[in-house]
Amino acid sequence: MSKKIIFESSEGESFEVDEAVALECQTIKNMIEDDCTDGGIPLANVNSATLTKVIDYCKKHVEAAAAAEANAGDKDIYGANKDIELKTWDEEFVKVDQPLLFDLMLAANFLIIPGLLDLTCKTMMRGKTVLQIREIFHIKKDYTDAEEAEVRKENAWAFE
Amino acid sequence: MDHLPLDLIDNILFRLDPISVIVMQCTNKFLRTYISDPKFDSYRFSLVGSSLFYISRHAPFYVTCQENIIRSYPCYILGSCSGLLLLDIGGCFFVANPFTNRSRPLDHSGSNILYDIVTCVNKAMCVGFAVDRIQNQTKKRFKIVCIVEMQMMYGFEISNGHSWRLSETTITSSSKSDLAKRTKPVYLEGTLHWLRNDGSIIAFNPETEQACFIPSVFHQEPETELFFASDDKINRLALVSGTKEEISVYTLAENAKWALARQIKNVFMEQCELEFWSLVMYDGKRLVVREKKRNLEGVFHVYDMEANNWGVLGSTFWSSKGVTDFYKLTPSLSFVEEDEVKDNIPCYDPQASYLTAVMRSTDSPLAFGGLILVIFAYLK
Repeated sequence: MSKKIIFESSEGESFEVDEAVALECQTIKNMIEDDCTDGGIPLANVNSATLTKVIDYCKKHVEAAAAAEANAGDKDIYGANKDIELKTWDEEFVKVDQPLLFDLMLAANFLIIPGLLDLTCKTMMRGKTVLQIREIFHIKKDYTDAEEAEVRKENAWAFE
Repeated sequence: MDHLPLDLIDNILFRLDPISVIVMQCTNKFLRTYISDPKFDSYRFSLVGSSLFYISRHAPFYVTCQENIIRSYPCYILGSCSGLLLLDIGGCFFVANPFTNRSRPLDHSGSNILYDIVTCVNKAMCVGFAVDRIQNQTKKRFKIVCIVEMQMMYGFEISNGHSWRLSETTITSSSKSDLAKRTKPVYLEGTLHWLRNDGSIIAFNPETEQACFIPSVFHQEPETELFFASDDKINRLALVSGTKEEISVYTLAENAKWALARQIKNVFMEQCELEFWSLVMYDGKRLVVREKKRNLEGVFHVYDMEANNWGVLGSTFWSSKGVTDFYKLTPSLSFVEEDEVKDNIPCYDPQASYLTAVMRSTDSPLAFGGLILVIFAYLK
C-alpha cells in the first residue's frame, strides 16, 4: 500500500492521490521532502475541476513511465509507439474549453509540472491569431493600431 | 500585464516555437520589448542548451553543436533559398525548413556527381539550390543543379527531388577560368549564377534548362575579400570587394560589365587585435562583415546601405576562419510540394532522426527585420 497524499481544492474538496502521482508536481515533491504534507495540502488557487484534470494527467504519466520501465528490457523498434500512444492521450486530454485550459496552465505553473505546462502552452497557442491570443492569455493591447500594423508588417512572414 | 505573473510569461515564452513567439510579440508592447531584450535570448539559449542552429535577433545565429552526434554525422548546409535549407547530414540529403521543423529526405542515388562534390573539399559551390513558389499556392518546389566543369565546357545535372538526370544543355566559355572556390551560386530571377575567378558568370535556368555565359570581367586585387551576391532591391547580381579600409560594391550592368555602385568605408578594425575579417552577406539593403579579434568571439557588423551607418548585429562563437560558412535565410513558413512531416513520425534512419533532433532544437525566436543570417560550421 503506497502512501497517500491529500490535496484540497479551492472549494475545500479533498482529493486523495498516491504519493507517486503527487511527486509529478515539483512543488509537492519539495513539500513531501520537507515533510510538511500531513493533514493535506491546501491548493487555494486550484479549483476542483482543474485539480481533477491535473490528477488525471499525473496519474496517466506515472502509469506510462512505469509501463515504459517495465518494457525497457525488451525495447525494440516499436518502442516508439508507446510515445505515440501517450502523445495521443495528451492530445485528447487538452480537448477542453479555453478557460479550463488556462486554469490548467496556471496550475501546471504553480505546481511545477513541466510536461503539462508545455502541453497547455502549446495547445493554447496553436493556430491562434493575435486577437485570440490576447483574449486567451488576458493580454492587454497597448499598441496603437498603427504600431500594431507596423509590428505585423515587420513579421509578416510569420502570418503567411 | 496585469494578469500574468512574469515567471509564467517566461515559462510560456520559453516553451513556444519561434513562430508563436513572433505572434506573441504582436499582441503587446511590453511583451515585444521583453522578448527583444538580449537577456531574453541568452536566457532562452541557456535553457535550450546545445543546438545546431541558433538564430536570434541580437546575435543573428549562434551555432553550438552536440559534439558527440556531430562526430558521427558531419553536417553541412549546401544551399539556402526562400527559407529552405539543403542539408547534407552524414551523406544523406534533406530539404528542410528550420522554422517549421519540416524536412524531406532526398534520394541522391541517381546522381553521378552529387556525392563526389560534397565529399570533396572546396567543391560545395558546385551545388545550386533553387526554390520557387508554385503559382497560386503557398507550397514551393525546388531544383538542385550540380554544375560540372570540363575544361571550358560546363554541364548540368538536375534533380527535382525525386530523380536525377544530366541536362542536354552544355555551355562553352570563351576563356579559361575556374569556378570561384567557396563562392556559392546566386539564384536570381529564376536563374542560378556561378561566379568564375575572372569575374565571368555561368548562368543556368533550371526550368527552361537554358544556359548562358556572361563574359563580365573582374580583376580581384590581391589581399582583397570578394563576395558574390545579389542586390534584391534592383534584382541585379552584385560583387562586393573589400579591404580592411574600404569596401566597393559592383553590380552587373546590362552590358555584362561590373559597374561600381557604391564605395563605403569599412568598419574600423584595430590592426593589432585583428585576427581576420570577412564579408558575410550582402542583399542590397545591408552588408554584413565579420570581425574576429584575438582571443575574442567574432563580431558581426552590419552596414545599412540606406542609412549609411555601421551597427553591430551580434557575435558568434566560431572562431576560426576556414571552418565557418554563412548563409542568408529568409524565414518562411511554406514548404515543398508533397511534403512529409518528419516530426512525430518514428524514424529509424539514424541520419533522419538526427535531423529531427537538430530541427527540434532549432531555435529561431526572432527575425532580424525579416532577414536572418545562417552561420554554419564546416566540421571536417
